[in-house]
Amino acid sequence: MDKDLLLGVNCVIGRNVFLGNNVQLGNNVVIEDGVDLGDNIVIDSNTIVRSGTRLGSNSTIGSNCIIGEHLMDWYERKLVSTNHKLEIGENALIRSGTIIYTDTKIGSFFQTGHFASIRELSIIGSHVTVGTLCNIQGFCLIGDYVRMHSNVQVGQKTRIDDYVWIFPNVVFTNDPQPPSNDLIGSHICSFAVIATGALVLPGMTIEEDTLVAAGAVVTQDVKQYSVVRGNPAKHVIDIRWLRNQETGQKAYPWRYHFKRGMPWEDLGYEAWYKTLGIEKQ
Amino acid sequence: MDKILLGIVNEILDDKGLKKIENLNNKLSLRKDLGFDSMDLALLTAKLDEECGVDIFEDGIIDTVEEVLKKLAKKVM
Repeated sequence: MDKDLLLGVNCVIGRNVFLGNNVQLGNNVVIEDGVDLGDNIVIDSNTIVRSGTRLGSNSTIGSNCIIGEHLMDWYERKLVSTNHKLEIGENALIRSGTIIYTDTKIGSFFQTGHFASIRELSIIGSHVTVGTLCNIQGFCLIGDYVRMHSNVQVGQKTRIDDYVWIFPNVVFTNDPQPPSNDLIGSHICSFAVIATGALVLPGMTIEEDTLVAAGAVVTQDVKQYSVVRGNPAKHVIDIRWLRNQETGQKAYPWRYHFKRGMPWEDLGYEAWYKTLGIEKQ
Repeated sequence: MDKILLGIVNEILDDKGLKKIENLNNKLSLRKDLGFDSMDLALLTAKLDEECGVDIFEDGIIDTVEEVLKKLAKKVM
């Protein structure tokens, strides 16, 4: 045990647990065997951190969360204790009611809203936000700086690249002949924006710098710079014609006009990109 | 210019399943009266640029038919 541990009532700490400095646990918190908690961690009441979880420093977990949840094998009573691993980077903020399954790797500055569910075998980058009631169904690849608003349903095998915005109630499906065992995830490329209530059918590729309008049903691939809307979604216009409704200035590709919370927040996108030393944009 | 603008406006209204208009009143607001959303305005901008070589939003936001026509006339002159 390390110094500055503050425990609520009825906490249970298993064997071989590593606790960093300044760890605060609320009431009824369970830290199972082999968990590794960094420094400056706060975990609120009734949260369970399961075996094999590694949580980076400066992280906060709300109440009633399960971090490192068992896989199906445990529920089927085939295996009681597991060798599974969940790794969450530093500076995570996981709000109350969230469940994150094991066998997943998540980068730093991860944030969830309340009651988010993230299933197993996903890899999630850094600076990712997953909103309230989102459901990531596992086997997903999610890049850096992905922003997912509330109640987004991400089917298994979905791939979402860096800097993608996904607004409330978007659904990414994956089963072309439901019910079947042939799950085909979609691939959402960097800088795409999927607006509220859009439905993406299995196996779609939504290319870079695209906008899927609110309520669109995507039944075909979306080409770079395309804006699509309707059911079935059809190309309407090149995204570069869309204007900011307050100023009349160009609004897309959004990376040149929006920087809050992005790595180019201080420099602007073009200057920041130059610092990466990459030839082409 | 009026005819070109009227034709494009009606094309957009038609695509949306809305009733075409017979003539353009200078005071008509694209947003409030014709119900144009951001996508419709982008379409209008792109089509006018293609037809007349004018980006009607190049100097900022515009809203009425009169403002669009002024923008087009200025460029043509």
